[in-house]
Amino acid sequence: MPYQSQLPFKEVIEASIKDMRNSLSQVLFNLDNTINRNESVNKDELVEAQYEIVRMQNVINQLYGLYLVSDDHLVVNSTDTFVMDVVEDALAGLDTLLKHKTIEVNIKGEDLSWYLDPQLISNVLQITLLNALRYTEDTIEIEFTTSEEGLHISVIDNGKGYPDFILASYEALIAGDPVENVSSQNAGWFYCDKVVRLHNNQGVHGHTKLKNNEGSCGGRIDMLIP
Amino acid sequence: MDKSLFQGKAAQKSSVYAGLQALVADEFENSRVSIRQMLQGLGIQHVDQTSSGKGVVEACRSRRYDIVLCDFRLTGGKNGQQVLEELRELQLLKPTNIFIIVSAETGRDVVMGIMESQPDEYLSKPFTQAVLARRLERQFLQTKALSSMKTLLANQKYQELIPLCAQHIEQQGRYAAWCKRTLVDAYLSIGALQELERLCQVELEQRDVDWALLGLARKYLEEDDLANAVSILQKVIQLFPQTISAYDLLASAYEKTGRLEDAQAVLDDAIKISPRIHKRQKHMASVSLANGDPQSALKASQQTVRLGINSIHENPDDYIQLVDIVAESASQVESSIERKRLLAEASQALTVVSKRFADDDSVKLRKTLAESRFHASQGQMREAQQSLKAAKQLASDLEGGLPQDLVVEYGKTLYNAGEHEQAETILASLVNDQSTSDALKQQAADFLDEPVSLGAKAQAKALNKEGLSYYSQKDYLKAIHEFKTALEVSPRHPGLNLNLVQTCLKLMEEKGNEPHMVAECVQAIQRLKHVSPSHKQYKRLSALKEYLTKHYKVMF
Repeated sequence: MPYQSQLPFKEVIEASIKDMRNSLSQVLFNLDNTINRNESVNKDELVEAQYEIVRMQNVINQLYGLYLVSDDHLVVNSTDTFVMDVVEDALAGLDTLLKHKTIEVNIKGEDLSWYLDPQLISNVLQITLLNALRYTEDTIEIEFTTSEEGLHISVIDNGKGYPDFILASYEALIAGDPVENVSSQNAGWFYCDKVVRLHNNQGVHGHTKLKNNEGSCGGRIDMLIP
Repeated sequence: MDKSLFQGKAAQKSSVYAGLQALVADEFENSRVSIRQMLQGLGIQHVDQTSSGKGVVEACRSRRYDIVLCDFRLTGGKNGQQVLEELRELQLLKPTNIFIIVSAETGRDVVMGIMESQPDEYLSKPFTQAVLARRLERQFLQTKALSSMKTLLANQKYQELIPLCAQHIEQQGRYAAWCKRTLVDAYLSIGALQELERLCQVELEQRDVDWALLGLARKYLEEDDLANAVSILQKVIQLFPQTISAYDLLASAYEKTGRLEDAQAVLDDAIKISPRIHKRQKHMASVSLANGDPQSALKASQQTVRLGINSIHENPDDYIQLVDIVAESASQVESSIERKRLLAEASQALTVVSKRFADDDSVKLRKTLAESRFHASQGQMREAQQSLKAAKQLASDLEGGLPQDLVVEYGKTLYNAGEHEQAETILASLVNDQSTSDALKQQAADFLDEPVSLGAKAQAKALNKEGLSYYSQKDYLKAIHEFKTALEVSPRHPGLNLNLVQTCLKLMEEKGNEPHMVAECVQAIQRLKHVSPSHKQYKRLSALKEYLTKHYKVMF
């Protein structure tokens, strides 16, 4: 019997991810408890461990999402959603982390509702937030507004900003060029752009842009969901 | 807003949560314990736990939980989706109770199935206490705001519900989207189709949105405007390929217009996206049966039975259908191991159905009839007769005799057991009886048209298609050959017989009168004695008969 039909790889991936998610659930829960209840332990180390777990959780989501993209199987399940709910969901997953790192998160946006896939967009926001967390000095801004074009969401850090070659490779990535030197970072960006692009309305598709912020000189990612 | 605001919320809410009762269901103990601790951390003092689906149902019977957090994977056979469906069916959930399905699953089949069962919330693992706190808070706020509307909806009091929804929308309430979706159902239920159309059109001027397009399609279906319904549903699927209910509706619309192959193709797409839905697999089984596609029918029928087990959907029809499909298609399975396995599956289905529905005499009768057909299909005529005899006894023991809806099954069984004349009499009288429902008449007529196995039907259908293709190329000799070969496997098929007659007449128009061909036509017409005036081929039959009488001096 051929290997593929004896052990369908799609199901192997699904079963393995389920297993990893169950395990991560337990690790995350225990760490959360230890951090919150134990005064005597070195919290910095635990918080560091938690950061890595949240990252791993996102890499797993991203990996599975990209696997579905490669198969053209990633589907967007849009529903009327309050944008603030999605932002808060994404942040809630990073709750303990943000509490212990001295990073301030500011949200600027009205309490507006938009037609989008809350799971996927929350996923995208978490990926961009983790990225911002890595580069920021001490502040992350999340902004969202609407215009005639659609919903704009931006995640802005106040770090040193991206070097030109990274911005250029991002441009190439979203333009559809083959990705050289695949890393988890550019794979993550690729995934985010794909998810946003899969959102469409009356023939218009969403898009993303990575650039350096004019004001705070940090980096920013802008997303438009039509 | 800064992050500290919502981080403090859980603590603030603890007084609100204090009096609530929650149930946690998960197959793993450590998972149950951690979720329970999270809930207790939020201030919920009463948290019960269980590992099985049966445990959830029993717990909900004895106590009304405000919150149920149920994993998809549970011990004991039932999954979270089946539990939710059962709780709703048994009315063990109040509209204001919150049912959350928790899952680490990634597979689209599982996730789509869960979504289709419409839990209040779906939480994917892993999640932190902060995430759980946010979701619960959101659910409580929503439930509080919508409780009177949700109660009216559950009690189907649409006339009172509609103004409340409209008011919430007008005041630009937070749950306007929920109200709009609910209005679609409410308007449909009371037949307010103009209002429904206006609601959807206003929304669609703003943007493409699945529920508004679906609402319009359902309006057209309600009005029997199938062409418009089909075109809108096709648009929904193109724009929002995950909108699974659009596939089901489109398949039904195709079915109503006689486009059975299109219906099957759409259901096939739907099953690729979300296969774990009983009614969808059941629909697929019936459409592919009507299409003469035994392989697809078998697969869908097996899935229907599997999805029924442990769920509220379990039904004797599903088992009996599986037995019939196996009986009629097993001979086509090439591998003898596979064939044996299938036959064993059918025997197993017969055993299970009589066990599961032991108290139901009509099921017992149906099972015995199915058993007879099963034996007959395998050439075991003595056993077939024995079962038939037992079935006749069971039928005469039934109060009021054989129920009308079982006459077709009974007639089929008689025919397959070799009692052709009796079968024809009983089925023909069903067709000619004014009180018979159209669906039942159709079933009886279909059987009288083609009392052959699924495999034979499929073969005849393929040959007929070939014949029609030759006919359209005006290659009448080859067409006649195909039709005649098809008639060897399905001799009573009206369409086939009439195709043969028509082709012979065409050929004779070109080449002149041929006595053996006229005889061929007469035989074909004589094979159609079972076609009654209500049959859809009756007109065509009469016309061809008349033509033969007039031009070829044939007497019938």
